[in-house]
Amino acid sequence: MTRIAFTSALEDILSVPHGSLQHTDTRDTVPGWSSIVDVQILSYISSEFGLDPDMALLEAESIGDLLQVLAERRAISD
Amino acid sequence: MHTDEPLQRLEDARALAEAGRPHDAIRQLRTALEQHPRYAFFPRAQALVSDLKRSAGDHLREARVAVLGTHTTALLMPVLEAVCLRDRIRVELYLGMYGAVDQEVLDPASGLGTFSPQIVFLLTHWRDLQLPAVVDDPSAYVERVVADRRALWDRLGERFGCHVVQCGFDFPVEESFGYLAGTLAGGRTRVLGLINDAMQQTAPPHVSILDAASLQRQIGNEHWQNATMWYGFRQHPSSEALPAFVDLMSAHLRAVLGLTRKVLVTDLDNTLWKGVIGEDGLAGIEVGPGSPAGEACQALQSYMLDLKSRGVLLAVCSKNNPDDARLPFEQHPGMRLRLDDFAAFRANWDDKAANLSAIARELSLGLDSVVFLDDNPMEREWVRSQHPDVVVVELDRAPLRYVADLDRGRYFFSLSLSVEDRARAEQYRTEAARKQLHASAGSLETFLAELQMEASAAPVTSANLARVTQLINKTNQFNLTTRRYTERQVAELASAPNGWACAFHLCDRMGDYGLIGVMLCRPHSDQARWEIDTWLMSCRCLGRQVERFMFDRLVEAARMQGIHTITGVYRATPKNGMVARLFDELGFRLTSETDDAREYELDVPAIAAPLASHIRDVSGRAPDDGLAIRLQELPL
Repeated sequence: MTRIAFTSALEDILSVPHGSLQHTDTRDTVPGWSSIVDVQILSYISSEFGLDPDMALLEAESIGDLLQVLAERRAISD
Repeated sequence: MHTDEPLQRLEDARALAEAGRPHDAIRQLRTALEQHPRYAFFPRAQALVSDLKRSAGDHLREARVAVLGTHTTALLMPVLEAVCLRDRIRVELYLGMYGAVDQEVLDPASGLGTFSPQIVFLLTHWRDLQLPAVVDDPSAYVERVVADRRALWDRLGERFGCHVVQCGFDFPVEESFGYLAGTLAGGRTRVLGLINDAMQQTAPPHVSILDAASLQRQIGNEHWQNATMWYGFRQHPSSEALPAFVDLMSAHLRAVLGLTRKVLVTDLDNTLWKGVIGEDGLAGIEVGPGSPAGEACQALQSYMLDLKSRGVLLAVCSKNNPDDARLPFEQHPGMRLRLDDFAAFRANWDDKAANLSAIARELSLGLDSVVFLDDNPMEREWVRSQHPDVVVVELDRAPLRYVADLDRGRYFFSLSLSVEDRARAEQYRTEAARKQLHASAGSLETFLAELQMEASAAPVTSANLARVTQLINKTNQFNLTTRRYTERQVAELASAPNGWACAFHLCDRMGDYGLIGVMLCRPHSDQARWEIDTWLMSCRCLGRQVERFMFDRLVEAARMQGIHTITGVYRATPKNGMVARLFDELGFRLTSETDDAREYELDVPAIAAPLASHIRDVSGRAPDDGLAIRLQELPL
């Protein structure tokens, strides 16, 4: 999956328009990003990539953090 | 199926919705969901599902469903909403407070009380019991756990008259006692199994047990739970297992709401056998031992025979020359199915969607009763486009997985098996004989006389409560009010003092129809008045004037109980147009009318004579009379 496709999936989960999320976006900047959405995002990652959510994923705070962790695990590409 | 296909269909559905074509969007989404996508699909689909749920029209069944869990249940929501849309249910969901099942059930001021659910899921799992590796007194322990469950079920029934789906207990994935946990008398695995068995055996009619342990076995321990998600978020089962878990929840929902499918319509070539009979001939098709595909096709036939034995009707819809299509049933030694196993058989070169309509008409069933099985993706897509109410099973390219594909949908999942269910296939065969008699009789009067019908009216009792509730929840056409009730609600209505609740049974010289009609009358504050709450009849006995027999018994009972006025309402639905004028025809007076309802009143003393002249009244001789305990005598 590409970074753009993954970001698009996050936009679906967060119910925001496609193309609107920025790397710097966090829970504080995206309305509706609740703790339940955290669980949804981790479960999505687990289901989509077969990755067991580890501490690095649990501690990711921004969209950029998530992209970086997934790129390091070769789950997404450019 | 390519693993990305559901996601592609989701994108297509989104585009269709944006283009103002919600019904086409729903079709795409349903097809994606029939392909059983993994969890990742659902959070991406949830916004679209919420939008489409609103524009799906009025053919969805409404259901208020509460989910009470001892752990995180929020992840279930998008999955359950999507699966319900797939299954033609417009679900309104209430998610109980985290880990507060008892408070929700027992506290009169809880959110659950305000929500007033029709169906409650109690989601529990093995950790809730804090079970030691070995229990000292397993019998007492099991008894105590089940008694606690029963108290919750009873309280829910008393407060809401709702159906309860109790999640059975799953098993620890890691078990320190290993093999011994299942062999020692008080071993944890053994005790959990005993609890599940005891719940299953003692569940009252308004409770069903969701078999989580079987699902865990099917999915496998490795995928059933995720330690990170459990310890981090109290999420159980794992997201990987969640879609299958929700599928099972939805099967219970469909069964409670009377949405269980009734007929399986199958293609022939490359579905019931491998090969094309018209081209390969009898010797060229594969069915039975000798090839993997042949064995798989034979296994599918055996599976279908099992379905038939529990009341599912079988029908054929095939593009074939009729004689070619019949040949394997008559002559191939590997065939398990025979021609007389089918309630309808259509082999021709007509459009399959048209053939499905004809089959539904022939069986007097709606298309929302039909499951369609066909190996050809183009035929499947065509039928979906023409008949959104038909469930079209997504089949693997090769027949080896056909049974699994059909079984996975749980289309025929039911919570009880009535005498009528078991006898259904035979009843449809006798119906064919009746149709022949009708054709030769010349006039309707002669036909009805020659049927030699006998009917009875009997109280709604513990013996027929399940069947009465089943009819209430699945009858769409001859149904004046289309009110749906749980068993408990029916029992309450039937046991109301000064009311009248009656179940009707019909047979004729061709065979026994079983319990085919229900009337429930509520008492009124004016003690000389009844209100018809529910009046319905199975579509299998339409055109027999049974409604007149039911009316006669109603008037007779009203007179005996000093009732002078009976009120009734016709509430219009997309499917009950056939009874729109029933009250007028029976002599009721119209008292008010709106776009979707008409209210009527009957002056009982003014009714002169019985209307059903072709049906002999054998009330008092019905099979369950005398055996049953009246509901008034039963503790609810």
